[in-house]
Amino acid sequence: MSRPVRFVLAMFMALAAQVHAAEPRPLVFGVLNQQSPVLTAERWNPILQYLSQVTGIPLQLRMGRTVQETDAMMGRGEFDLAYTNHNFQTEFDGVYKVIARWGGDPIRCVIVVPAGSPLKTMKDLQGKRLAFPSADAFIAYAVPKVALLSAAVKVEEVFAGNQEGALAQLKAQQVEGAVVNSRFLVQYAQRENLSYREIFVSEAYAELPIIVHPRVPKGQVDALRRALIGMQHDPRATPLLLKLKFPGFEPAVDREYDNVRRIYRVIGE
Amino acid sequence: MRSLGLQARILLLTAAGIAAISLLYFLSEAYIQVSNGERRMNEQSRSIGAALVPSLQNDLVVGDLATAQQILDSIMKYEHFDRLAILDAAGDKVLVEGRILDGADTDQVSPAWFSALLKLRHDPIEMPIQAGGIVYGVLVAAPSPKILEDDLWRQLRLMFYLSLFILVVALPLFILTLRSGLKPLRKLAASAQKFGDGDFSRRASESSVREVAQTARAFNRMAGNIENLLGELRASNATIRSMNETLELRVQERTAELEAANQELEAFSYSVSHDLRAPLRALDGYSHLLAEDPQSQIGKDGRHYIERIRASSQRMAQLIEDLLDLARISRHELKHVPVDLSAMANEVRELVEEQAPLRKVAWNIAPGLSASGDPVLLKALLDNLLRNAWKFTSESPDARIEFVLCNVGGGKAFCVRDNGAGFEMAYADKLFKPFQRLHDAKRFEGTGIGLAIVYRILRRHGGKIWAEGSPGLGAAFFFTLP
Repeated sequence: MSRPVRFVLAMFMALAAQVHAAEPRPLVFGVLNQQSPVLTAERWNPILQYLSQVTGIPLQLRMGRTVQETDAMMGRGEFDLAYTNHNFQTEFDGVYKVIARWGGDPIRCVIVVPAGSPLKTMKDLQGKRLAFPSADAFIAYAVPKVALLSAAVKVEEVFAGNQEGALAQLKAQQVEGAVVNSRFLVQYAQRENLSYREIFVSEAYAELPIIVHPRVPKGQVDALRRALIGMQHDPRATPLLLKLKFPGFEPAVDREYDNVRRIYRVIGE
Repeated sequence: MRSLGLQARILLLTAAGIAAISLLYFLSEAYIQVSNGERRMNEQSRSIGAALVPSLQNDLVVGDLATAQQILDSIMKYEHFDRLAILDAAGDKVLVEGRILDGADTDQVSPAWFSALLKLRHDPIEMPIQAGGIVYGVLVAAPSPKILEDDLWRQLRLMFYLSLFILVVALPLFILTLRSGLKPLRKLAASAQKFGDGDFSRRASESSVREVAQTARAFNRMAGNIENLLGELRASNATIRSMNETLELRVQERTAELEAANQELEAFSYSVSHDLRAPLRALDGYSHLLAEDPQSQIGKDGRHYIERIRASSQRMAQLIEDLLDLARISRHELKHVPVDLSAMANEVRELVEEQAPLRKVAWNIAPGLSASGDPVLLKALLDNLLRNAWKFTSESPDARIEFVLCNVGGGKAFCVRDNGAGFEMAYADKLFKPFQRLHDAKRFEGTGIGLAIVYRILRRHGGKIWAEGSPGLGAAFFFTLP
């Protein structure tokens, strides 16, 4: 390559680098598939827009069509930040760091049967039809799965798609028991006037964390952490929090999720 | 149109009416179909677009453009859109372009000219694909008019075939019905035609069609009245003909009687006149011998009386001669040949001038006057008229006699005019009667038979004569010949 050509090429690359620097690359924010991509976007885009506005760091929502796709994207390090607890699975653990968590009380896994059911203990569930929201759920599948394994109880698993479906099947007496999280159980029972009996209640698990990839500069991490935790006190965020019925983010550290890691290790994931 | 029959007129008018109504119906229906079709097409595009957006939202949120491509391709297959694409949020870059893959039905049923004629309005719509306040792209959907055009084309063809069916099937039925319906009217027209041709006993037959039945009854009443009137007319004509025949017979009889009487009278008159001449000649002759006898003892007074006797007998002889002339006119067998009246008039002029060579009269005889008639009688006619003029201008210092052709009352008439003694118009009706004189015999000699002869000659020829005059200023005699 001749010298003049190399000079022109170098100048062009320098100009391109300057243009690139003028428009900073947005940090990719991954979200676990708890809802459809659209509902996820409707919930998270306003939050990300707020965070970008506060920190000046552009954020872009990214997720896979399925949980597996999203987990794979996380595994490939495509997310700079993420809202998930799947990073605590053995194969992904140790890369991303917790900087905050979704606000609210910890939740528990509850296995319920109708109030008049003759089933009273875990042993009674042997061979019974038990409704789960999804095999991808942590609280409503991984946690009870470990509990049932510990009790050596084998049940017939029925996947209802979500927690609403699981309790609906129970109410319709399509199944003998259902597995949901404790927060949803209270809401559903009040709304549908469901009388139930708790067969099993797990320990408390913290809400999903906001995790960050180590490649994100510390200054940006700190700014984002401050913005996340300060959101619930920022008047600019109040309308958004009210609209999303969201208490805001709370401080969290990595060891708060050790019980999650244990569950994943038990079920071999 | 004027020469067309009722059936053809009804047929033409009905066909024109059906065609006009069909055309109006078709145009209005087409207009409604096009308007509604355009609206439906655009609404459908908007609906499909609106239905697409939610499913595309998920794909764009997760960045799954391949699935979005599949969705757009699957929609394009149904030909609702000319274009279906997803642009980036700024609308600059095409993220996904819908494709018409192999196997899609892209055949256009309607011809190109039909599409160009319709010019359906199909505005492209743009719908943002967003979630949570972030615009992930813009769905651009340009509806395709093909389906609507094909639908309209099919409807048009259907209407065309329907119209054809009506023409092929319904029109002959209509013609048959019409012929059947007009049959009573045709029968009525045939009856009227026969009646018009002279078959007055013809009557229209009864009909179950109310209007035709009314007309037939009115026609039959009229025909009956006409037939009655014709019967009465025939009877009247027969009576008149009979009366005419009787009258003609009576006239012939009376004419024969009159002719016989006239002939007897003329024969008698002729005989008497002829027979009277002999004693008159004897009277005149013996009187002459008596007056000329030297040995006669008759004195001066006696001679005077004898002269008076002779003068009277000569006058009587002249009267008899004139009567014989008049009788001869009636007895003369009439001929009809071309006659040169101008030449005849000139002959008369020469004769009278020879008899009085000292008189100076200005003559004006028009040349070339001619007529058809009996030459002997016409010569006598001119002789009497011209001699009459000659006589009554004898006292005029600048005598003038004319025989010319005059314009009278819009027609032509021969005219003998003079500036002689003239006459009073009050006595004009007496001029042509025998022995009628309007002047003193001592001033103008004559027997008063000349104009009667003229009148009789013209009457025998079928002509006319009349006179105008004024005392001292002259007279004019006008006559015509057929």
